[in-house]
Amino acid sequence: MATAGKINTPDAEARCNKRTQSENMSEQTQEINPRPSSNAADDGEPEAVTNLQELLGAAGAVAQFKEASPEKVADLSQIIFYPSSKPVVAEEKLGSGGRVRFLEEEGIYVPTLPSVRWNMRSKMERRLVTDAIRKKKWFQEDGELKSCEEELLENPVRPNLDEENSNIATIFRDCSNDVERFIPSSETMILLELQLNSLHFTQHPLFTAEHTLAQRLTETFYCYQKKLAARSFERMSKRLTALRHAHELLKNKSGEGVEEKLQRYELEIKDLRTTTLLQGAAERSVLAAVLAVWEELKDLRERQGFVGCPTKLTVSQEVVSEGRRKKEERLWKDAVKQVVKEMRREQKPQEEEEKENSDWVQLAGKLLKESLKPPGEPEMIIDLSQDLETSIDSKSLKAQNRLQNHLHRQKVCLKILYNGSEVCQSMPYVLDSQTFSADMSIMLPLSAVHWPQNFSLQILQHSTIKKALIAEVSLPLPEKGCTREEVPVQKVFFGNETHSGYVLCKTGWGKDADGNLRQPSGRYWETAVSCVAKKVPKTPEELQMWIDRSRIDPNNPANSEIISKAKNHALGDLNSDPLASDLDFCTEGEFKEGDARLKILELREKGHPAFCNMKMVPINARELPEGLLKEFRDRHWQQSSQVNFIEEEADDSLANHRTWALNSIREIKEKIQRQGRLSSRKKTMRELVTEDLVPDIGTLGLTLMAWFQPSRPLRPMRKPRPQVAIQGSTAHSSTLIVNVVSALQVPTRKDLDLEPSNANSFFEGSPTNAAAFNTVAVRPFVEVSFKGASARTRAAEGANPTWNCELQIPIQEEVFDHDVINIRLFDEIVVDVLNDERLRDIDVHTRHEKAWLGAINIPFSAVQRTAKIDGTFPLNAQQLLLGYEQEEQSRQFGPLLGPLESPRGSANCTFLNFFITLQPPMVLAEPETTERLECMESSSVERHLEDWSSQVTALFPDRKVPALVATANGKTACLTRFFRPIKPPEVKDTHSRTLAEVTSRFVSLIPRTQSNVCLTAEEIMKLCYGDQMSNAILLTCFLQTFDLDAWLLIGWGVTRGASYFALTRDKQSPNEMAIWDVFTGLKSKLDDPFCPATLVWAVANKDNIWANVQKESAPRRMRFDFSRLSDWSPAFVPAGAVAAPGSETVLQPESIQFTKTPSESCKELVSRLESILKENFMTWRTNLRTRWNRHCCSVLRKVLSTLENQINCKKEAMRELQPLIAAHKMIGFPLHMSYADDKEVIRSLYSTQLHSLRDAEAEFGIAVAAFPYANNAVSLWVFVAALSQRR
Amino acid sequence: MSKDVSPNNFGRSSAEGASSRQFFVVSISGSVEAAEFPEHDELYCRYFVEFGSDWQIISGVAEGMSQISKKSKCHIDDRQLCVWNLPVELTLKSTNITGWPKIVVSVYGNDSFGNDVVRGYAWSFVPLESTATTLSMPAFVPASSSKLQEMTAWFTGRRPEFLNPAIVVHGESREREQILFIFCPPMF
Repeated sequence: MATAGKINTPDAEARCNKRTQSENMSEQTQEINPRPSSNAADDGEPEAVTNLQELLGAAGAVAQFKEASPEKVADLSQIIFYPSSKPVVAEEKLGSGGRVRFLEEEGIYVPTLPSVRWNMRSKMERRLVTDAIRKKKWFQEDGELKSCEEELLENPVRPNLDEENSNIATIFRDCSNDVERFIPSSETMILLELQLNSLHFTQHPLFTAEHTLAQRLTETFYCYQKKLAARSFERMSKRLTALRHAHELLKNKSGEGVEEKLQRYELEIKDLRTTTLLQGAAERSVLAAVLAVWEELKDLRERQGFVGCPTKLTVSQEVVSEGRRKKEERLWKDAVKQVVKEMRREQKPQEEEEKENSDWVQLAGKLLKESLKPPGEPEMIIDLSQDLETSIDSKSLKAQNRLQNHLHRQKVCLKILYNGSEVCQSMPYVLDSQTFSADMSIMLPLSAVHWPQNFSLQILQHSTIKKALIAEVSLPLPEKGCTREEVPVQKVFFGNETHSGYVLCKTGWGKDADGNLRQPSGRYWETAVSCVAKKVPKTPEELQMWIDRSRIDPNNPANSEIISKAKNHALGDLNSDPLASDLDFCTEGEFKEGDARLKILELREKGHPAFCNMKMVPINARELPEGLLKEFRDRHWQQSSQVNFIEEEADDSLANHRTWALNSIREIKEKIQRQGRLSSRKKTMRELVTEDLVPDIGTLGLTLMAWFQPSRPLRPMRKPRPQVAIQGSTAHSSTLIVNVVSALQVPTRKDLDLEPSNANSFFEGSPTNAAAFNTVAVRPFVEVSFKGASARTRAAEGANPTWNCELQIPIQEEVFDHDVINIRLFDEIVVDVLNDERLRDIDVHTRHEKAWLGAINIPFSAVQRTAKIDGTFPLNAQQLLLGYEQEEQSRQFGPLLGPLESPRGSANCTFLNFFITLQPPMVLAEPETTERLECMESSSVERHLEDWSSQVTALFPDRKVPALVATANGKTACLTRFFRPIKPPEVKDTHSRTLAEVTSRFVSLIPRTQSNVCLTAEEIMKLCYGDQMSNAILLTCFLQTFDLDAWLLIGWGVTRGASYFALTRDKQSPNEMAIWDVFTGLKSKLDDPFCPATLVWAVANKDNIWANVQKESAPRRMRFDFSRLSDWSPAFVPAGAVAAPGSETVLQPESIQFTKTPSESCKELVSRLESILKENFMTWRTNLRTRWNRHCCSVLRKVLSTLENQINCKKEAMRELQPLIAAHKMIGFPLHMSYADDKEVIRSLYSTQLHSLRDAEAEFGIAVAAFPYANNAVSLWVFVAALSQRR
Repeated sequence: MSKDVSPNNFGRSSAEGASSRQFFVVSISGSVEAAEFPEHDELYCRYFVEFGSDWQIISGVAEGMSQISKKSKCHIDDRQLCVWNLPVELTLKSTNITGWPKIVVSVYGNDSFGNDVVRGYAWSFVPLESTATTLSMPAFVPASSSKLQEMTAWFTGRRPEFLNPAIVVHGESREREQILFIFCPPMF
């Protein structure tokens, strides 16, 4: 555009001048219009060019030239080029230095070029020639344009087919997979000829003793003959002689390497001599065996008095002549000499002491005698024949006839199979009673389309009723080009346990009528041969070994392939499939290096319980959750160092002991899970496939009737199908709904002042407005927390508040069995923190503090299983709640609760009424089944128990009765085996408790974990760790030693889920029954409304298991008379077919050796825990100072010891605390627990939320006390208190 | 039975939410086209995709059921196909190659008494190549455990069936199965 603009400027000016003269004024005004500024810069004066023309650019410019003045035409020719159609001279095309070559004349092939009109070509050439630079590329050396060869052919390639020509037929050929084996035309049909001569049995169930012996004779004789024919001894001795000779020759030589060679020769001589002698010995022993069998046979025939089979051995001895004997003796001596010489030579380096020459001779003579014929021994010539006359007397005839009859019944026939399909079957043959053979003389020509792959013969026993297969042998296929006439008869052996024998047969290719051999084509032979040749060792190591062993010639071209293969292997070039290597996602090395991700994948594949349920294992190792594998490794290391947990003992520290015990239990659990999973993988047919059982007449009749019914009825009857477990519907988006209704007997503030004071303190409200907030006795609220999420109610007022508040906690994470819903009751204390009194009318500035009053834990599994939990439950009783006091129960709720005298002391208990449910209900994960484990009981007991429990389950599907429980060794055992009275540990001072109570308390101090393994008492005491069931069994065993009848109670506790208790009945007063809880160690009566066992499913002791078949399952409404069959269904009926496992098979020990827990470890635990708790407490109080009151701590410690020893210790404790309370206002409480691990203690302290106190004035006191019991059981107390000075 | 599976996109996508966990995405699109069951007619099929624990569905459905389809008639089409053209459209993400998705197709039809019986189970890996692939899967059914049961099954119209059709892709306990009839030779 810009160039065009420049070119046309002078011309445009000229035109403008011309126009201004001729055209009108209006145009002139237009022309005066100022030019756009871009061009104004070029000229400096306004130009008279229309905007349109300017935009036209170059094209417009050319148009202007035409009508412009004639003097500019020369300029035009510079731009426009008309190619003329005159031919271009060749020299011009090639440029200045080009010389024209005539390629055709030089003898170079010049293809015919497509014809182009001359003028067109010239024009094109003209155009191209103008470009001086590029024209070289366009032209050939002969000046022609470079062009493609003529591609059109003059004549059509295909024949011109007349469409109506019907002579050409279309043949449809099916494409088949095995094209190679398919031989369509009859010319390629093959003809295979089989000739079966005879069948011989070498072993048959009807063989007599004589036959057996005769057969053995035949076998040994053939063995001897084969040995003789092989002449291996002879050949080996010749080789030995040659070697000896070579050795002699070499000895005389000297030179480099001779010594080495000599040694090698000597070694080889030694080897060869030994093998030669062995060979000789074998030959002689075979001969001896033949003769021995023959003797035996002769003996037998003599004894039975007749000859039953025609086998005969002819033995002739050739007496050695005198001359030969001498020669033999000389040879013998030479041989002995030689051997002695060699043996001496070989012996020398090892043994220094010289043996006597005669010794050597003797030794050599002995050696040689075994394998060589000694001189003078007559030569034996033996021959076997089948022409012995069988005797024809009455005795033999009888035996013969019997045999004949049997053989007639057991005829033999043959079936010939070609490529797996039957071709023909022979007629049945009767075996000859003397030789057990059948002469068949079958000639079978077989013409086939498919190439032979296997050609076999079945030998069948053809009795009157059925045919039984004796053996199947594959027949030899003929070699290439072999006809039946050329091939020798072959023996094809067959055999199984009872029958063996051989078939005499031959096979060959047949000839057709024209005399052409009809055998498979060349392709068949290639594959057949390659099949044989491919028997090369597979792995590189094998190949190398094979090469070394067989010493093949590396220079032989026939072996080059093998050698190169071996070489490649040696170079590390594994001849692996390149496609397969694409699928290797990691190298071996990565695996061995212990890449964390791969390790996890591997463990998951193995089904390790820690990882088997892991999903979405990250793609990179660095994305793995930290410490996942580390934890596993640590544990694994610990486990591997303590393989046998019962034998080994952990170190003294209590914490370490607990970890060790927990790991041990986990290990057992995992082991059992693994075994269970392993066996559950083996599914039965019934678990895989649904199939109707064979119906009886009734159902068959119904089915037949179904034919006459409409095939698609309007109201179809559904057939019930076995329910398939719902997969993968573990709803993650469920909501936990807790409806907190009300509480009873909430402790009220006792000490929290009503009198006004100055400080804005938690303990002492605000000066002026104290009354406003603190007139209320207590403002309780409930907080529910589950898996870190929590929700609370609003605060209600008074000791018996009502909330009716629905709390919702969404469940997002995966929920485990051991997760617990924690419901806590707090007192909300409102503290006025308003500083400016003047603003009191307008401002409200308060702070809410909370004080813990009690808690209750509900296992999530309990909610999950029952779908809802509803009722009034006692909070964990706090004996001592500083700053709070419970009002007299009788005063308030006398009529409601009645005269309760429950030992758990509901008198000073707080009750909470709530309702828990899940929405939507969650599908319960299938519990681990232990029933697939191996059972210790006899199979009849096992089946009986399974039947019994399935009967009970059928009646009451909710009641689960475990009759078989898993033991620590991974087997299941009958529950009754776990009961035996065991003496509990001795206690010196019972502190006003009964012995039974003390024992129960002791059992409650053994920490529990979740497992479905039943541990024996010994194991529990060793580990000091158990699970609920084992602990309950232990308690039952202990209680049986007192004056009590004790049972294990299997049932359901609302706050426990499915759980186990001990049930006792006083022997003196049979109406006194009690249920013992292993969690708290407390006893409760059956009619206690707050009894921890709400449902009773079954009861067990050492004699029996009774399932509850009463309609009611709440203990207070049940009858506990186990002899009533209508109430209780026993597993073992006294006169039943199956008896309970006897008392001798009890798994529990008779008694346990209790060890004393060292008090040092307790002290160590106390000091450690105290510091840990203090530390944690301070960290929880972020940006708040924590002041510890030392005096308070020491007082609290003292209080704890009184708490441990007495039940109703409140008064005593208060006496101890009196001086402290006089000076301070206090809130606080003791926590009691069995020590499991530090985390547990920290968690329970945290849940009390005492640390959330924001009062700056507050001081804290904490005290830990641990009281040792037998076998590392520890009663742990933690007392925390917050206090502030009274003013 | 055939199934067209076209492009299997391997991609690597990162940054899923806050934690930048990496994964790859496999998208399967295709269709259960047709089946050749020489002896049966009026068949319908159900397909579902099985995958390992490291796999997760991002979009699409892993299961589907087809209409009942009649065979193409002899005089029109010699192939005698039951055509469904049931689309399969699924995108999965995974972190691990193990548990590569497998497609299981079970074919049902009415027997001569009008009972709905299973005609075949078939399965295949989702093809590993990322081009359009046509798979042909041989189908089989479990046989009755005895002759008598076979007869009863014929009468009652309740042939043996797998409790869970997914069993055909798992190796566990497969040795327990009896002889399996192979009905459908691969054709496509």
